[in-house]
Amino acid sequence: MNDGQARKPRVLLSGNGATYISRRDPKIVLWWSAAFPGFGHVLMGQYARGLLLTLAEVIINTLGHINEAIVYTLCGRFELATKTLEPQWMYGYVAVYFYAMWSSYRTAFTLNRLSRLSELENITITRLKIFAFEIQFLERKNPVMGALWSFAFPGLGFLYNQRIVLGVYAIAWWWIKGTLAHAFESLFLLFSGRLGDSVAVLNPQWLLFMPSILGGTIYFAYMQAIDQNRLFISEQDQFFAEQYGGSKVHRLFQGRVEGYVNR
Amino acid sequence: MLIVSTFEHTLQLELALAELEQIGISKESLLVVAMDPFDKTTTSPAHQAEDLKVRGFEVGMAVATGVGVIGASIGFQFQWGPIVWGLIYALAGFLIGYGAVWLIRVRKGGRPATRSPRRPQPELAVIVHCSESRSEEVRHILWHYRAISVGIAAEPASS
Repeated sequence: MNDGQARKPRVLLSGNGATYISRRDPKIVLWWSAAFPGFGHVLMGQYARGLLLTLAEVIINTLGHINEAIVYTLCGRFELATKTLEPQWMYGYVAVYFYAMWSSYRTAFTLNRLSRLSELENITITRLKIFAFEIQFLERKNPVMGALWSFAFPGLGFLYNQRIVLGVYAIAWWWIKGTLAHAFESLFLLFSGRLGDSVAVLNPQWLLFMPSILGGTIYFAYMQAIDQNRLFISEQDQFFAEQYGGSKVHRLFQGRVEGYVNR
Repeated sequence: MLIVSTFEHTLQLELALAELEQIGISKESLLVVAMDPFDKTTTSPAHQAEDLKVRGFEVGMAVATGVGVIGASIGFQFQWGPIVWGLIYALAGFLIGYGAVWLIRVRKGGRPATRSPRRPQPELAVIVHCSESRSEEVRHILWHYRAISVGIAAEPASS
């Protein structure tokens, strides 16, 4: 049956990679939405709204100087934190922030149920698709490799898992944020032993986006690899059942009992 | 005779089967059995042990990210700066998260009941029925495409 037409399809293979319904712990989804609004949705495969939420987060957070205020707060300089915040953006920021958490949490329950249903229905999975501009397939991945590539440079883990747009989006943003935060420069200074300069050069507003992105991309790449392995195995089981379901090897044993001699 | 072998879910396995069919082994003489790596009929701790590593990583990364943000923030005050302190905090957070999952699981149901599944795992059993003269060729193909193990059961001597 065609992927797009089934009532409970499990996976769609497009030129941009495998999109699928997966089971996720709603609490973990909620947590990632709190770490970076939009991450929870991306984690569940709702890429469009997830990425739009991350864009909103970057823009509103920067306009409102929220990250800066967080740094000042955690450093104990509360007055400076209050002065830094732009009150104009607060209401909208908080509303979107909580919507992202709430929405991803409740969606996780729905998708978990749908995931179970489509697993039970066991609709034929497509493993390989060739497009004019790309070849896409399911294969066995090593989750640790996905995590390591994301650690090396966020986004590479997604490319490893064949998610092209997501990978390029993450790579581009890591360049942008790393540059605006002067993080790459700071690392270079750190390795040259110029400690004081390496701290002074950093921009807290942009730097504070980076830990969540690094952690999130490591985790997502790891989980995506596991999901794809699961899909690959399901597809192969389906294939073997179809190909060798008519096996007569069992009959040998019956034959023995009934005195049948096999040649 | 019967040739029994075990494989992982790989493309090589499909190549092996295709090649066996190529040399004239019919589909009917091939049996592929998907094996469960743990007891799926119960929801025992053995079942849960399989994804303990994944769960540990999941919680570990969640804690690492949260703690890493805090480390990066307060790191602005310290000599080594936010990048180094962020990474140190993240690593500590990961160990705490991972350790907590293990501790809770161990306290709940003792140590995980199953052996921790190491690769290569025998995920599939492939049974080939062929004549004695073919067996060497068949076994060669199975080994060539990364069988984990191969065994043979000779035809019992018939009168």
